[in-house]
Amino acid sequence: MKNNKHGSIVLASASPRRTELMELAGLTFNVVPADICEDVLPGEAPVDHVLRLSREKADAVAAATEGRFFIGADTIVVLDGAILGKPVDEADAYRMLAALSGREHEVITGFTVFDKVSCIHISRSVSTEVTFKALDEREINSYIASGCPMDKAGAYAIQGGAVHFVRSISGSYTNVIGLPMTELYEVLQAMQALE
Amino acid sequence: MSVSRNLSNIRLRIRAAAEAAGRDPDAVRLVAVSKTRPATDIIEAFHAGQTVFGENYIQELTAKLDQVHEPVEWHVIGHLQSNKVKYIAGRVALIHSVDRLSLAEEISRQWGRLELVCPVLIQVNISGESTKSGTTGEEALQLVRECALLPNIRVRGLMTMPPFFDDPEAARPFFAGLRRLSAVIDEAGIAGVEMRELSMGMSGDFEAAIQEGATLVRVGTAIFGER
Repeated sequence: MKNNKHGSIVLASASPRRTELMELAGLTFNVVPADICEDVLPGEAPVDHVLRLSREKADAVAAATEGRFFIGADTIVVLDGAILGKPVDEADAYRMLAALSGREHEVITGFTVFDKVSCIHISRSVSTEVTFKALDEREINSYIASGCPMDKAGAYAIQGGAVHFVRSISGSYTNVIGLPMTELYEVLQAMQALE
Repeated sequence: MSVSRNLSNIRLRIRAAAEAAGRDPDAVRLVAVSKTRPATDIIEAFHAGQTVFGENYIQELTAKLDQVHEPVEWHVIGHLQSNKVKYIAGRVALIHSVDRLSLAEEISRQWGRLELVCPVLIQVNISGESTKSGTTGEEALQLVRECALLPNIRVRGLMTMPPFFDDPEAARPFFAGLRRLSAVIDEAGIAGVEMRELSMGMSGDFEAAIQEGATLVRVGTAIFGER
C-alpha cells in the first residue's frame, strides 16, 4: 500500500487488532480511541448500528484531535438477526459460544472515514459469513479460561485461541478481525487520503 | 370510469403542464402507481399505452412479476427493507426509495450477484416530517457520495413525498427545494452520478411538480380510481 503523509490519518479505535491490520497494510497513522455510547437504538438494524457507531467514533475523535482523515469502525457478530455484543461476564461468553457452535453467523463491520478538511464522510459496511464447528463444553470452557473472549464481539477472535473453532468463512477475512482492508483502502483512495 | 380514458386525460394534463412551464413534454414520464390494483388493471393500462408501473410492497410486486407477462417497466416507489431486496434483484428498472446506506449496499450486493447495475433515486424527506421516510437534505449529498463508491448501483436523481395538502400549490416549495438540492449535488461533480431524474408529484399535485422540474410523476388514484 502506498504510504501516506505522516500524521494525516487517525485510527479512532482502541482495538490492537485494527492497529495491526493498518500496520500490515503499510499505513502511517496515529491511534486515538473513541469513547462513545454503544447502545443499540430501538428498531435499529445491525448494519445501520455499525454504520452509525463508526461515524460517531470518527466524529468524536475528529472533534478533539489533530489530523485530517479519521477512521472509525465497529464490528458485531449477528446470529439469527440478533446482535451479539461483547460478553458481560463468563456465563454470557459461554452462552454466546454455545449459540455459535456448529452454525453459521455473520460478522459485520461498519467503518467511516471522515475528512476534516472537506467535511466529507464516507461509510461502508462489509459482512462475512463464518461457520463454527460443533464445540464441546471442554473447548468452550478452556477458551473462556484464557480470558480471550471477554472484550470481543460474539466472545471470540478469529486469529486468537478460537482459530480452530472456524470451519469456514465466506467473504473478507480482515473484516472478521475487525477492519475490511480492501474496502477501507478503496474508500481511502477515493478520498485521496493516500497521496 | 375507464383506465384508458383516465390515462389519456392524465397525459393531456402532463403535456399541458410541461408546455406551460416551457419544458419538453416528453421529458416527463408517468409512473402508474398500481399498488393494491390487480394484475388485470395493469394489463389493461398497458394496452392503453402505459408502460411504467410503480409498486410499494415487495410481496405484492413479486406476485405481479409472475402474473404480468407484458413488457412493462417496474419501479419500486415505497419504503424498502434490506431483507426484501433479494426478491427483486434484476427485476425492476428503478428504485425510487433509497434512503440509507445499508439499503444501497444490499441493492449493490444483490444486483452484483447477477453482474447487473441497479439505477436508483435517493429519497429525501424534504419537509423534515418525522412520519416520512427519506434522508435529510443535509445527509443526501453524503449518501450520494457513498453510493457512488458502490460497484453495482448508479444514482440517477432524487425522489420526495411532500406533506399532504388540499391545495396543490402548497406543495410547490418542497418540489422547488428538491430541484435545488439536486442542483447542489450535481455541482459536486461526483464520478458516476447523473442527477437526471426528479421523482415528485402525485395525483393531486403533479402539475405543480412538473412546473418545478419533475421528470417522473407517480399517479395512482387519477388513473385507477379511488381505492
